Amino acid sequence: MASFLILVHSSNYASQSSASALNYAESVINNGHDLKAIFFYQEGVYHANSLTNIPSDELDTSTGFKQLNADHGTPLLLCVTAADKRGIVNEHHEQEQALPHGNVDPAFTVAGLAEMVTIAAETDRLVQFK
Amino acid sequence: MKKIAIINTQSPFNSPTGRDSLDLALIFGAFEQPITVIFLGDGVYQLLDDQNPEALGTKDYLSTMKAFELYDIEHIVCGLDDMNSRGVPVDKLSMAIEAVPNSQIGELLNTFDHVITM
Repeated sequence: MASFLILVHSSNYASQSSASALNYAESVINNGHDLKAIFFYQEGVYHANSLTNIPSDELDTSTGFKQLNADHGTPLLLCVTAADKRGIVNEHHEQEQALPHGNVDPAFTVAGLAEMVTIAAETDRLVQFK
Repeated sequence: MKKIAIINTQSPFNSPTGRDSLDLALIFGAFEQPITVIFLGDGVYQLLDDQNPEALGTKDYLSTMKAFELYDIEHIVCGLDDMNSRGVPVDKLSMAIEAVPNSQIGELLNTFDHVITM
């Protein structure tokens, strides 16, 4: 058994690599490995936008990641710096910056690069999806 | 502890990737993970000295690369062939770099636990 950390760099809707990351994450778990976390960075932060509305007959990878979190407790870590710059706002920052509302889906955990680095330091495999 | 390489492949001001990559390198450095920063392809343009990002209204993150030493990031490598093919001369770089022939980069990457491509 190996431990894994997955980095998602691309957005949920505009890139196939989001679906590839989800498939990969499911395979890691289904093959008995330890998926430490999925870290959403750069354009990947759009996965956490709770205002996303994708038609039911189209692929919705964000919901897939949330299901993974619900079924297996896999942490979905959101890079807060990257998210703030792209209008993906958590409750704390909404109040701090006097923004009208926050929109981070509650399945995601607000984190920073420091958390990612700490996990990477004790994980066997780091896999990026760009 | 893991041996980590960060590969920069993007030109400096076409996207925020170069700056994101710098943030990553400095954080790995701050957590005392042994880190090597590698510049390949258009990433070698990040190394040119005397750039003027203010003219674009862009923040000058390149000068922050000089902080690599403060974070104990001493191993900085670039692809020699990528520099030559882009006309980036070794004597016009903003810092001391080890230029490695591209044919040897693969072997170098085998020595790391994690490789992050930016």
